[in-house]
Amino acid sequence: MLQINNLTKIYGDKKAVDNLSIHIKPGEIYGFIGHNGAGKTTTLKSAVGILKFEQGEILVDGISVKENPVECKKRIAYIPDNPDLYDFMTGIKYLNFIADIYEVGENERNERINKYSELFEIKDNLNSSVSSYSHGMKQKLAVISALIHNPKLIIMDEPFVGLDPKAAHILKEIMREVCQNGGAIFFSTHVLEVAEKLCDKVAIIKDGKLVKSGTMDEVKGDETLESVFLELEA
Amino acid sequence: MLKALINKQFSEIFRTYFVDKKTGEAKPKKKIITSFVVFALIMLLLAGMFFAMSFLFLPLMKLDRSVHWIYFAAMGAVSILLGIFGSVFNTFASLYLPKDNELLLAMPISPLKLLLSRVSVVAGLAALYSGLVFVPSCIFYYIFGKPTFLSVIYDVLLFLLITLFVSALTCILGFLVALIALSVKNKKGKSFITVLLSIAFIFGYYYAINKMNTAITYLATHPTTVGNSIKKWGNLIYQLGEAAMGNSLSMLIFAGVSVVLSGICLFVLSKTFLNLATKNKGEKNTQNKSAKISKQSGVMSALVKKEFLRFTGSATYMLNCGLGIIFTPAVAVFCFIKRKAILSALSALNSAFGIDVKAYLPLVTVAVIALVSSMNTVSTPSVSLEGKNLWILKSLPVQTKDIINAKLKLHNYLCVPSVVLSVVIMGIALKLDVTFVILGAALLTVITYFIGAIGLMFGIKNPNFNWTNETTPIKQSLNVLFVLLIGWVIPVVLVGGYYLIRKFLVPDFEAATFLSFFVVIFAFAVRFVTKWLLTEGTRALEEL
Repeated sequence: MLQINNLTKIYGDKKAVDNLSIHIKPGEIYGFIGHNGAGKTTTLKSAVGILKFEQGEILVDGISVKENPVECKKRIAYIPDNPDLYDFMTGIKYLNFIADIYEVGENERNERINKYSELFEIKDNLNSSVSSYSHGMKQKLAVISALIHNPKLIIMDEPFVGLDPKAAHILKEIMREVCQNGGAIFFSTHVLEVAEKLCDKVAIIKDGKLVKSGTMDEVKGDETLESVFLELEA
Repeated sequence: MLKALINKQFSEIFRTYFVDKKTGEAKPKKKIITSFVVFALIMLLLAGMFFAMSFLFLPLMKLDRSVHWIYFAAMGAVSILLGIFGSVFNTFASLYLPKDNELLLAMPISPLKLLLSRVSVVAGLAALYSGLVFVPSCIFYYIFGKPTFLSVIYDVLLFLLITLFVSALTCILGFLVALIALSVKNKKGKSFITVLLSIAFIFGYYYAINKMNTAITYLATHPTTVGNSIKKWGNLIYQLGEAAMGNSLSMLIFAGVSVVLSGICLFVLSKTFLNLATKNKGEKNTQNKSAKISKQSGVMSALVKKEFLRFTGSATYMLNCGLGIIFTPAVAVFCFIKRKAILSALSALNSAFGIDVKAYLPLVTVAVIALVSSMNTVSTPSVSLEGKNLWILKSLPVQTKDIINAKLKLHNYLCVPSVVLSVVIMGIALKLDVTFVILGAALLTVITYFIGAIGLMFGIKNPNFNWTNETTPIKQSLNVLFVLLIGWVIPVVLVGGYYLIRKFLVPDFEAATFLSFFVVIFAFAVRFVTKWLLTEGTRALEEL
């Protein structure tokens, strides 16, 4: 579903990501962990087509992000670490805008908006301006907007930050559901317990370089993910 | 601490002058100097206009020095009006809407200090706009009047006091707008109320300016009568005039009033700042009726609609970049109402000076509409206004050229009908031939397209995403200033060019030919800039 091959992204003199390769198959929840400034967000943004990169290749569903970004983006949904959404729109206008861009038909958008806004308990707030939303509500809106076109691949940067425990639980359920239906999830997190319980595979990045990756058992063995991570960071 | 806060405020405004957007490093000295030289030239141009206006008072300078205060009273009043006009639209946004209000209020910073740092920007604008009138007025007087050493010293003090006076008045107006706007729950309602109040203020301003022109003309011929009226009905302006002439008592009175007014203003604002600054964090989030899920619309339509919502969602954006949409037809309607007076004035001009008014009328009509509509710079700040939301457009499956086209389309959809309607109304009012109306509409349409495209080009080449207050990309940016300047130059080139051609090359050069020529020129210019936008501009936007 997502193939990142030898990705290198340079800012000025600094290599933010250095020759990184990750392959994510359909049905996989892939966790991405690393210290602050390790290069997680840069990798995610490159995969989404937001950032241009110097070397390497990223394929989404076999399509090159460099060559055909629009086709790739049709298959992806992205949730950033900070949900800066359009403050000048109401929640429903934002969702309608996203649905229009992804060319989602009336029945499908109706069904998905109703389903997810009820699940996340913000249906009654959709007529309010986004500027009045709390951080958590904006995060919920960002999640709903990501699901509106039934994406094959969801890329998320710290998706659980700001969500209340119930919403976080619902999001985990949705992540599993997406993967059961043949989709894939690639997300970064600092909450190692979540990664350990939720992910099929995990990658650890340090100073832009991939230091360990594989199935959860391959990466942590008999230890906890936290102890493995701390050892690698030492 | 206050110094640090003020530094933060001004560094945000001047960041684009000093810092390269891509590298985040300091720009080369040459670029910085060029930016400031261009800015200074624009200011000099505007100051020159007010210097020229002072010549209306030349006859007064020949009278006894005791009536010269009238000159400073009149120019001081214009200076105060322009100062208020220049900064009032942003005061509400500058004081109460910055995104870092809550962040700073959470720090151990007293609301008064935060308020003072916000007011410093208002004062800066007040000084800039008031100074555009007051400084050239003083220079004019030093050349043609009878200045003394004391009057020169007092003039410097008065410049500072006028800035203080204007800042206080603007802040009070901003405070009143905040009180009214924040009482409305709906965000869009807030924006429209702010716009309505501002438009009412603008019409009041132009009414005052209109009356002032009549008053200035009358004043030049009846200084004693008008002087007595000013003393009686506008005593503070009289004191201002006398102070500028070196009268110490008047100086004390004007200084006292300015300081007391500023004190009251600061007291009221500081007592209410915390409440208003935090209350304004969006509308109250109430649970309400079920949201309406709309029918599917096309990608381009969705993008244009998003741009429209951005425009109508901000009073600052509408007022600073779209005022011409209303003003241009308003001027046309005004001409229609006053058509008899205008036509008889034109015919008098024809018989008195032998000017072939009929030949110039189509060009002047187009130039007037182009000048008023130059206030429309909708597309110019639209890239910078994406700010932290830029990730949304970049992560969506849309072509970058569609994003650019949507921004251009909104500019054209909003501005073209306004200029076309205006030329039709003016055509009827001034009895223009239908050919001129059609050609005028065509020329104004391509000029509007050109302004939209060139504004977007500047916006892409020199964006500013790091703002905490949207007035920074909307009002305090070189991009907008450049586009405004281009908008002012176009009418001058049109009328001046036609005048020069008739005077030196072809005395009976047809206005229709001239208009057609410029339609073609601007059509090529639009094609050239649009081509840049869809090639280089697209690449540049993708790199951001």
